[in-house]
Amino acid sequence: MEGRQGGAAAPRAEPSLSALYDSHYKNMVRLASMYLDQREAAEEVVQDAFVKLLKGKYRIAQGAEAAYLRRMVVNGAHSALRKRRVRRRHAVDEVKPVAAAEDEGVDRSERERILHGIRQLPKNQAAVIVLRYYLDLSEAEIAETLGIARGSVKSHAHRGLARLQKILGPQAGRQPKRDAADSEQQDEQQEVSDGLT
Amino acid sequence: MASPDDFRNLEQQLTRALRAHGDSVEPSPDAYSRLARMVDETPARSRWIGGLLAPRATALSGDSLRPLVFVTAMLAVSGLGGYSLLSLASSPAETATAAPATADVSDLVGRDEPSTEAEAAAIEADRVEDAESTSSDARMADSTEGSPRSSVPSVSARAGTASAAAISPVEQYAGLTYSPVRVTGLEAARAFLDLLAVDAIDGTEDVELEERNDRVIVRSTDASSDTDASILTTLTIEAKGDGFMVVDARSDRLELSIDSTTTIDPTADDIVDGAVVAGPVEVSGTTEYPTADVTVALRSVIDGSLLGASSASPEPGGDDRADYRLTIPVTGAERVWVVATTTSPDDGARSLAARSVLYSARRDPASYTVVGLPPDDPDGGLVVRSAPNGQAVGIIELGSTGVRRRPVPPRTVDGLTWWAVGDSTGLEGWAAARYLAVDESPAETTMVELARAVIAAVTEGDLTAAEGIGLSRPVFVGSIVDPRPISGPADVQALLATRRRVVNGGGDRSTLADFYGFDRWSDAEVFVPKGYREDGAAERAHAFFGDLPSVVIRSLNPATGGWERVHLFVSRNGDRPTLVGMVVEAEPLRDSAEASAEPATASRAGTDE
Repeated sequence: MEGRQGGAAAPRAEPSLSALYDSHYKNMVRLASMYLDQREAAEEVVQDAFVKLLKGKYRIAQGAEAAYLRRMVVNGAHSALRKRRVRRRHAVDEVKPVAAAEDEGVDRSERERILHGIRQLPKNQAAVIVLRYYLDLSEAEIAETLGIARGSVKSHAHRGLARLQKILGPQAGRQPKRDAADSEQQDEQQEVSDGLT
Repeated sequence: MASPDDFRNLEQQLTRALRAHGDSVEPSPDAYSRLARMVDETPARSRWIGGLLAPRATALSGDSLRPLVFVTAMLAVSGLGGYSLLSLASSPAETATAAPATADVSDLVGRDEPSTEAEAAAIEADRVEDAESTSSDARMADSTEGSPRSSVPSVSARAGTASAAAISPVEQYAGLTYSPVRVTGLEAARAFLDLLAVDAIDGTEDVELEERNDRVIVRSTDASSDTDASILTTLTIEAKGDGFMVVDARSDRLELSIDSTTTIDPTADDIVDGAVVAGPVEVSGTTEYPTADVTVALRSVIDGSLLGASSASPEPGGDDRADYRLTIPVTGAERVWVVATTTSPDDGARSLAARSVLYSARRDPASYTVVGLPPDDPDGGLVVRSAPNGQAVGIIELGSTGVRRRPVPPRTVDGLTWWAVGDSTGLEGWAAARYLAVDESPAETTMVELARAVIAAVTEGDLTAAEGIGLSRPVFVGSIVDPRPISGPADVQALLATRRRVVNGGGDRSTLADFYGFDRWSDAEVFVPKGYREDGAAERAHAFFGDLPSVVIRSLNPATGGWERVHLFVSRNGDRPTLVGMVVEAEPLRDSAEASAEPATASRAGTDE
């Protein structure tokens, strides 16, 4: 990080990778996993955020790294989801089977159903739901993370819950649809076929 | 409508599920080492253009800023945020000036005379102070570092000394030249609002703009309003290279969504990324003013020109808001802003919401009439040949209509221009263009056709052909490019001429050929990507150009033995297709065996360099 200049109003210490990793990496991977159902994809989003934080041209206020990372991870995960949807519409190659995730318990199907529902929500609604009910952030923190007004946080939360309720339907515990997971597998395959090989 | 109890149950369910899912996720064991490697291999990002331009910086008066703000609007909404679109008449000093945020809010709302330099300096000082102040949030302050990449031969140096005499015919034809002048978020926001002729937002007074991270907050300064209510509109501005692009405008009082973005035909040959509409642009949303019409306009992101508009009366809903819905027909291909506006009948307050979308709707092929043949023509009509000046395959009689052009570039043989044509009888071939009169606009209809036309123009070196291809100055993006000085079609050809011919066929390549729809070119493969891997380089290249469609030429560089991809980014300016940028993406040298065995995802860290 040579060449970075201190701010005029407050001195800033350069964050070290090891300190950032210990403090935030796991939490950020978990946050990204709310949007992306494969750990590798979630880790890529988080790694990009870390690289941008450490090598970007922006200086981050001391102590604000977590908020910055949260924002980058949420945006990055949404971006990844959006691109997957685009590629999914244009996928033509056959799907290469991907090893099924191991069964992690009886609650897994319900969790997947809820996550699948959240991933169908519009960007801000999904983000508000995750930030509120997973990270337990306040409205002000959510507003700051997403760059929207507090009033918008409330409306996104309300609409998101209403929409999620509609998506999930009255049958709690129903088996999740497999098409979403299959589509994600197609996405992964698509990434391979889009390569330079 | 769900009851509060339902929501309470759902909230509990959500909390349990999300936390359980979070607890089940653990980073990969080698995450730290991989991350450390990525950090080590990633060069620090800095402005490599700013340092070249800094010595030329001069203070701008409000008057001189106006044209810059105007042209900045065009670049700000065109995805070329870091590059000011300069009029040909601009002086070199103006073109090379790193413009400070000198425009006053009065420029935005159009109430007062332009600000003085002193006022502008005060505003800028406030902005800088605010950005530099200690913040509890993740506010990102722009670095003011120098330019460690100043040794890179960039287009900026040439752009900085551009003059009317130095403009090539191609650039004159295109009417555009790009200069990498730094643009602030505030400037981009002001220019965007200026472009849309929005002279006030949600009220005629007390409007101010605040730059915050990659967003510009438009807010009322009414002291009686609370913090939440004072934020009226948020313009989302993404950093693009060394500049910005306005990507989104949202208002709490007027919501806008694009409903028809999933109707693209996946079998069509369109180049797609981001929000795409294949037919009419269908929009809907809600407004806080149920008795006021909502107007939705489509504006080109290239020059802001109005391409369509429609108004609708909202339908009162169950709460304080009213729903609106309307459809705007489109033809051709264009990246546009979908801009919704409405005005409060009570106080004249105007609300704004905007989204960007690419539409690529097919238009019926242009039809032609056979003309100019003598009545006693011995052939009895226009001869259609198997190839330009080739064997005759049929005759189209004089006066016949319904002849259509095929989406194939014209060719010139023996001094005659030949068009690929067909008619309703199934006859297809080549005919001399001089005997065909257009019945309607011959504009190309899809991005693929457009891209192929651009490629043909580049390869044939005729960028002012009748097809109307324009070429602007190519642009390089950060560290992902091979930063050689390329300023025009001759340089493009020179670059590609040094690359080895690549032959399709075999194994995965045939699969990819099917996928991409390979086209052939003498020096390299040319294909139109329908997607791209999220491995950094290409993704950033596409992001920089606002997801404009691109043509990719993949080739081998004999000097390095490595693969390269030349991305040609294409857009339209009305009916004029334009090559708006070029990115040369070089792949690092890799052992062939290693390359063939390496999974695609493993190349993410190395592709950028």
